Amino acid sequence: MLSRFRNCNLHSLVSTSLGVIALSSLGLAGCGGVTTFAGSSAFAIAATPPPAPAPVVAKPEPKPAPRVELRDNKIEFKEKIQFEANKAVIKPASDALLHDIAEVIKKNPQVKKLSIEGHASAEGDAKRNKTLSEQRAKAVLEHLVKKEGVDGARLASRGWGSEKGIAPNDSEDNREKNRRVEFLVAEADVTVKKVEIDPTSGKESIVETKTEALKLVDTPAPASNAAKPVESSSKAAPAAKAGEPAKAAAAPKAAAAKPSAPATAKPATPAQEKK
Amino acid sequence: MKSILSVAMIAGCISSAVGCSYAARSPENYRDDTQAALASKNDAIRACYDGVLKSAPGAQGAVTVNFEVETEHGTIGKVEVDKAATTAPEAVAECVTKNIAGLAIAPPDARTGQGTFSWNFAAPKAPSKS
Repeated sequence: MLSRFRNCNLHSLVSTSLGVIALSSLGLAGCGGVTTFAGSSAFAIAATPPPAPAPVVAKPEPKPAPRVELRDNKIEFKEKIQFEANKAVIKPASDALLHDIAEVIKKNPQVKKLSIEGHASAEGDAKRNKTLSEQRAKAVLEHLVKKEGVDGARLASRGWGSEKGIAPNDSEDNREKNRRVEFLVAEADVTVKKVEIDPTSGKESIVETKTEALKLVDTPAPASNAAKPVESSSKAAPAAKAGEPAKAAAAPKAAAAKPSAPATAKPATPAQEKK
Repeated sequence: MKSILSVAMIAGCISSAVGCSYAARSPENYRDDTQAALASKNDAIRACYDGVLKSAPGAQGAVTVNFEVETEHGTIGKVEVDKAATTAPEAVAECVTKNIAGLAIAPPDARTGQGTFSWNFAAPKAPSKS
């Protein structure tokens, strides 16, 4: 019996030991050892794309100076109105220029009267020069009215001969400067604004606005009477050379004709209303 | 005799339990956890690569590295470039090695990991001349 017990006990002991060893080895198997693995796919690394080049913005080309513009109480242009030699006949080459002049006149309705003034150099007979400059100014006026549709009531013409030279007549260059046609603002609507300045805030407030006609240049006969195309005689003394252009030049300072505004009033420029 | 054996067995079990975390991942889980850790460095690797391209425009290709994941902290170490499987210049490969060394997976695994991973680097296309 005892031996049986012992056998049984021994058997139990052995089986228990085997179980524990198995457990221990299981634990040891989970601890330690190596797991080998490889990435399922490669990581893709794309370089950061370089910043898109800034769009090339075309630099706006500086606006060319207008061919014709109303400035300082006159119509300014760099070119010359071309006349046939010793005649008051405008060459077709000047049609485009006269068209642009007409456009400026039309776009500035505040200009009520424009004086077209012809000038000559001192070369030749003074009387003849005066007549020719007058006729040329009239020819220009006529062209603007008939071909460009400018209101004749807004235009007047006169000729000064060599009376108002802008350069001494001592060289051909200077004489050329004196041969010219000018467009002077004779009358214009001027808007006068009476402004009060707040002494504390310094803010300006318009108290009164009024528009009044301002006479800058005395004009002679009305345009309708003066506008007749005239062709000068070729027998007369040559006041102008063949193909002689009449150059627009600096107008006499119209500023002198400006009325002095009251101390509290701000007169706008005669040419453009100040808003 | 029986009690002696029992005590010895229990002690053996306790010792094995203490020395081992038992967080033993399957190879797939080990790979996925490691891959996730590596992916967290992709932005840094890209930045490094962008820098390389400044001095070596057009540098690109594959980089394959072998490494170990240690069991104590789950840290990636012993990173080595597999030159046979690497086509990218050394500077590009360095972008990988220096960025992934020291990464760790959590929790650490009971078993050492031996991983092999690859990165494909692509340089931007040069603008076509027309």
